Amino acid sequence: MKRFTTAVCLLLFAAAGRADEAAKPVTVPITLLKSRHFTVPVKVNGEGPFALIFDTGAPITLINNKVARAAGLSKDKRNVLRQAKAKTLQVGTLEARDVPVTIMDHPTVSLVSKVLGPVDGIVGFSFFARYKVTIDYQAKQLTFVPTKYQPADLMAKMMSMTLFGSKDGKKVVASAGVWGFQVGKKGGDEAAGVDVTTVVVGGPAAAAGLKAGDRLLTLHGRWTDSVVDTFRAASEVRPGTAARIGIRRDGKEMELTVNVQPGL
Amino acid sequence: MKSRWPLLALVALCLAPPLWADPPAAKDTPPAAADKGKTYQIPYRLTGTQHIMVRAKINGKGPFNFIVDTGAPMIFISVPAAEKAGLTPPQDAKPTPEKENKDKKGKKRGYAVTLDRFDLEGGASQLKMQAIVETPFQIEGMNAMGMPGEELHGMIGYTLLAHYRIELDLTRNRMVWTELDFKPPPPVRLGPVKDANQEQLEGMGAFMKAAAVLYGFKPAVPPSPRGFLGVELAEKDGAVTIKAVLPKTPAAKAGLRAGDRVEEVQGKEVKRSADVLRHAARATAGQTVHFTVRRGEKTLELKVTAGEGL
Repeated sequence: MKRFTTAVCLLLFAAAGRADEAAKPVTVPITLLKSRHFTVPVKVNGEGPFALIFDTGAPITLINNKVARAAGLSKDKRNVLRQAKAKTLQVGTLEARDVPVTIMDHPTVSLVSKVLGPVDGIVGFSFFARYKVTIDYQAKQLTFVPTKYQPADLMAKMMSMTLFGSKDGKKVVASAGVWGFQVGKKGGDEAAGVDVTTVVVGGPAAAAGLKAGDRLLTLHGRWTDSVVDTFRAASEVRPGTAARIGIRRDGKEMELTVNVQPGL
Repeated sequence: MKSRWPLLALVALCLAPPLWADPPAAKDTPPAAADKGKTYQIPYRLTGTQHIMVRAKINGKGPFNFIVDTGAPMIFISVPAAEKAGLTPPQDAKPTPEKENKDKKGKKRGYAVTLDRFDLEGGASQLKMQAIVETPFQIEGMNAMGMPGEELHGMIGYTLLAHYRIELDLTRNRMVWTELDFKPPPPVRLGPVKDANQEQLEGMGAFMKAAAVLYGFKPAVPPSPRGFLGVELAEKDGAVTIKAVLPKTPAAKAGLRAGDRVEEVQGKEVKRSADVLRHAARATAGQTVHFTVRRGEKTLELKVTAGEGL
């Protein structure tokens, strides 16, 4: 029996070990350039490393023609602009598979490269969105932990034009649950928050102590500076949540807790 | 070119303009971070263009929508947003050199300012932040086409971001920012080199604006709030029942009662309470939501005229 228990324990440990390994954070050193971009070492299809700018503002991952040729993604001398898929993209010791890349000699990248030393592309959303990423300029490192997030194929969306402005017009934002109050904002009122105009008797907000005449400042950690703001914030609060709201009453700021109910 | 322009547009969205000029020398030294080690839950939204968008107030005005952009050296504020925030060029300000050539309307653009305070939604805030007021061509183009889904007002880059350890997980709708005890070294200018390719890329802003007119794309419009009915729902044994009808609400006026079993909403079958919300998702105040409910032996058709509220 004792042996059996030991065996089970070992198995459990082994399983836990594997689970740990699966979610083990990977740390990648960053190099801060004088322009205050920062680069990470990147291998494309095993070739490299090349220095690529890590850019949370870039929806795509981009490599220049030099890298594309080295990685076997291009035979042409110079692509003006082309899409390809890297079998592997390795950032530091972190490897991602099947990453869409854009091949182009990006002028800003070329300029940074010319002035501050070799930089060969940009690592963007299509790569980093797959991970919980921690950016630390002081420690000069990035930390990655894989998540289940699947970045959408933005290029396909672009091509099918579905990304572009709504032609149909009407968009509606809905609270995810019942709160039982109404807010308003008068024209010319530029101050923070919205006025609570009605509190429904017997509703969740009334139970929390909200009163008509209160100024609602925040809802579940979000600013409520307009009626739409308030609804957007409420759209993120699942029913069943004990949600904090920040209000001002008689010049004093306070917090109330509303038990949001399923309904509408 | 025609089939490739969406790709070029995406490329154009990548890097913020580097600093062509030296950033303004800080007149006031920013106070040391009093909140070091403090963490903030920073809400964000992912735009249609897959940008991480946060909201911020400039000197208490706003909120404005900013992209979190490690590819930007500092804070960029669009000209319209700066005007709304009441920012004006300092008396002794020189325009950043590459903008010395005025724009087509002869209006000078591009100047540096010191913001008294910059507050992010979620609580993080910095005093005496440097910022550049100009509308980056990416922002201008995207806004014209309504691509982000909401109007963008600028980017926040290194000079702000480096004060925090930033944790971003796309499976959560909050980032975690931890204030560091760190004084980020200032960015250094790259310019004034600017080649033809850069100008071509910057031309994308104008091109996207023109395309927006051609294709009939419109800037993003703010959404309308869904209407309020005043019912609390419960799920039991695979059925959705009305747990409570709040007094004097549209639901009460329409005759819905606690205990009613909801069978259909807007003519569509209901199995879970989420179905009710989904079928009624587009009903704004004044519009009718049709309920089919079972009360005892009877099936009732009730029309609820949505009111305002949540």
